[in-house]
This record gives sequence, C-alpha cells and structure tokens, in this order.
Amino acid sequence: MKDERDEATKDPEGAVEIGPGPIDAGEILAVRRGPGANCSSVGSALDLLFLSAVAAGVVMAGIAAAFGDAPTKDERKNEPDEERDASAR
Amino acid sequence: MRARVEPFGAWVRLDDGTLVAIGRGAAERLGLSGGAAWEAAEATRRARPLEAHVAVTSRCGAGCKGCYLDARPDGESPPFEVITARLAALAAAGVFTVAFGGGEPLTRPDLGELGRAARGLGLVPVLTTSGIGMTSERAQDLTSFAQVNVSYDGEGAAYGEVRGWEGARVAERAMRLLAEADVPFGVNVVLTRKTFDGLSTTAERARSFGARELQLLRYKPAGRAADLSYLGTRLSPAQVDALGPTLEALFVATNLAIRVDCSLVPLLSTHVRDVAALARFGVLGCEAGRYLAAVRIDGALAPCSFAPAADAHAEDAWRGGAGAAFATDATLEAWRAPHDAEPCVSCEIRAVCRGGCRVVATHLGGALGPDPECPRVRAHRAHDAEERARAEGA
Repeated sequence: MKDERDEATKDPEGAVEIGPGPIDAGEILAVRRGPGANCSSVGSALDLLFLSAVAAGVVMAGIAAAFGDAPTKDERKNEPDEERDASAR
Repeated sequence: MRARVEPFGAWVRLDDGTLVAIGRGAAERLGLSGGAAWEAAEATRRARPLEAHVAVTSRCGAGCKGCYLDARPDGESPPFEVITARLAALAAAGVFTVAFGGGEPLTRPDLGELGRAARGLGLVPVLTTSGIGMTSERAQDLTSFAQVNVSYDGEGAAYGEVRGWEGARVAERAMRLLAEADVPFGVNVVLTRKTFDGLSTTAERARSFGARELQLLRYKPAGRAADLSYLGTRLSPAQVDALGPTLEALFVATNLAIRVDCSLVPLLSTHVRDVAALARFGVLGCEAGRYLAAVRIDGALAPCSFAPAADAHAEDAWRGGAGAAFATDATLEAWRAPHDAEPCVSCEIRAVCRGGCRVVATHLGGALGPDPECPRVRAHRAHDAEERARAEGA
C-alpha cells in the first residue's frame, strides 16, 4: 500500500487504497450515497435531501465515523482554513 | 477505502460504494498528498470520471422500441481481454464505479468473470439488465456486483406499452432470482407519459420482490427513440411540474431509496428549496465528459451513453497528462463546456445542473444549449416570446 501511495504522490490523478483515519463531519464537502447501478446516466440519491436537517446530520456523522475516530483539535490546528466546496470542481 | 486526489482535497470511496468529498486537511490526515493537483491552476485541469458506463455487448433480443443504443440480436460482444483492458485503463485513471450495460449484458457467459476482474482492479462493478437470460445459476454468478438494476417500467401491460414487448414477467422473475441469490438489486424506471402516473404502484411492486432502490430515468431521444415518437412519449409539461412533489410523496410512502438520473435534475429546478444541499448531498446534473464517461462497444469514449463518440479511446485517453485525449478531445470539450446563455447563466442551481440534458437539447434544438424541457428554460423562452410579440405589436 505504501508503494501505491508513493505512486499517487507522483501522479495524483489515479485512485489509491488508503487506511482509516479521523474525519470530522464538518470536513465532509459532499456525499454521494451508494454506487447506483444504472448503465446509461448518472444517478443521485435524493434521500438526504428529503430528510430533516437533524436526521441528515446524523447520517453525515455516521459517514464520518466510517473513516475512523474523529480528529483531535491538535490534528486539525495546522490545516488550511479554507475548504472549498466540491461543487466548485 | 479508495481515494483520488482532487483540487479541493479528495474523493474517498467507502466500502459500501458511497463517495465522500473531503477537504485538503482531511485528505492529508489520511495520508494523501495533493502534489501537482493542489499546485496547478484549476482552470487547466479537467474533472476525471467518478463513474464510467461500459458497453460490454451490443447484443440484445428484447427489441425495446426506445433503445438508446439500437441494440440488436446480432450485436457485437468484444472478447474478455478487450473489455478488461478498457477496465484497467479506467481504473488507472481513478474511476471508482463501472456500470456494465449494452445491449443485454447477460448475453455474455463471462459476465460474472468480468465483474470479478473489475473488483480485482479496484473498481466497483454494477450492472443493468432487462432480465432476459437470468437463471438461478446466472444470478448466483453476479455476487461480485455491488448492485444489479433490473429495467422495470411497470407491472403487466404498462411495461409493454413503454418498451413494445411484454417484459414485466421477465423482469419480475429476474428480481426473484436475484433476491434468492442475495444479490443487491434495484429497478430502473423510465419516466414517460404512461409510466409516470403508475410510479407508486411500480415502486411498491418492485419493493415486494426485494428491490432496495428505485432509479428514475428521463426518457431520452437517442438511438431508436430519436424520432417524432419522442414528443408523445416524454413527460408532459404538467407531469414535469408535478415531478418534485411526486418524488417527495413517494419518499414518504415507500421504503425504497430513490435515485434520479442526471437529466432529471433540471426538471426539479423549480422545486429546489436548498441549493447548497444539492451539492452537499452529491446530486449530479449533466456530468458528461467530466465525472461521467461512457465506453462504447468499439472502445471509443463518449461524454455519456447517449452522446456521440469522441475520437479518444478508453485504453489511451488518460495518457499524456494535461495533453491527454480525455482533456483535449473536441467532442468531450464541447459536451463538458458550461452553457453561456440565459436562463442557465443566472440560475442558482447551475453548478449542479450544468445546463440540463445535452442529448435532449441537441435533439430538439439542433445544438448544445440549455435544456428546453427545464421549467425555468420554458418560462424564460415563453417570456421572451411574449416580449417579442409585444414589441412587434407596438
């Protein structure tokens, strides 16, 4: 896995396997649930849009938990303040 | 987990196939280094596909009257090694999900093996089928697929009215076999003037067979559907206006997950209450040639499955860095370009919708441009027409 990560650093456009790590729900820019299975057009799940803000927040927290334990303040303190929205891709 | 560095940070695919976009700080904490992606000006970069639609055959005996690929019983099925070479190129380009279609994928005896090969490359394979050719043994051979979607436009005669052949029983049998084989499955429902009103019945019927997801598709004028019949088959303007409330009611009434395709996003534009939530919850409009690419049966790339072929071919499209064919191909560039016209330019959901379905715009307007069936576009053009009439009458 280490070699694959090194390769990604040289050519960061491919995908690489990564291990678990701490993510805070607030650091999630966008979520696309499930793979879908249509072969002709891109599908997007609407469920989160229809949920209440509280319920959607619970789902986002669950997704963050899937990465690993939440980051500590120390882990986040030296990181960039500006997190851009993934829709600005 | 699998991740791909992006200018904003990274996309991460969780084990259940969910894609999560995270910022640079979080990406660094996961051991990712942005390198050139975080240094280069974003304008010079092209979004790479998150998902690719791969035609594994153009063979199909169903003969659906609206088939977008014009698939036929004597269609082509490239050798296993040819398909896997294309899959390897997609995996190397950082694609996360490959959706197998065609043609009827079950006409390939090696379909299960192709799914396992995709898994071996780090891809998540999914599949769409009519159900023709599904047996208990075939269903059990599909366990490598994260999900299989069965085309199901309604029960009984409703299916036949849309497709031109009575395939509802075939689809329902396939659903039963997939459920018995413990293969996760959903249904694809093409929204037409005839299927729209029966949507809740169709959803309930699919759920009763064990479907976990309802994928709604807009009817598109491509392949055998690119003729005058399109105008009488597509959703009526009244149905388009009712789409948002209909989906909300369906969400409340069913346990099925509801998914809309990229081309339905503009049809929901007048019902969007929280624009930021659209992006945050990963809704994608027309991502043709960006987060989406299609691989045609001859290996040529296309912006999407309904779009014309590009000159680029899957196996070498991402070689050459900034000068790679995927980034420079004229067809891909034209389809991914944002529309520079009203009402899209000032539309608040433009960043997500990206101007609506280019297949529909091209068919009805003869050129890439705003989606003429979008309620906002319809209203804008009606207003313009009134203004012109008023000016001419003055």
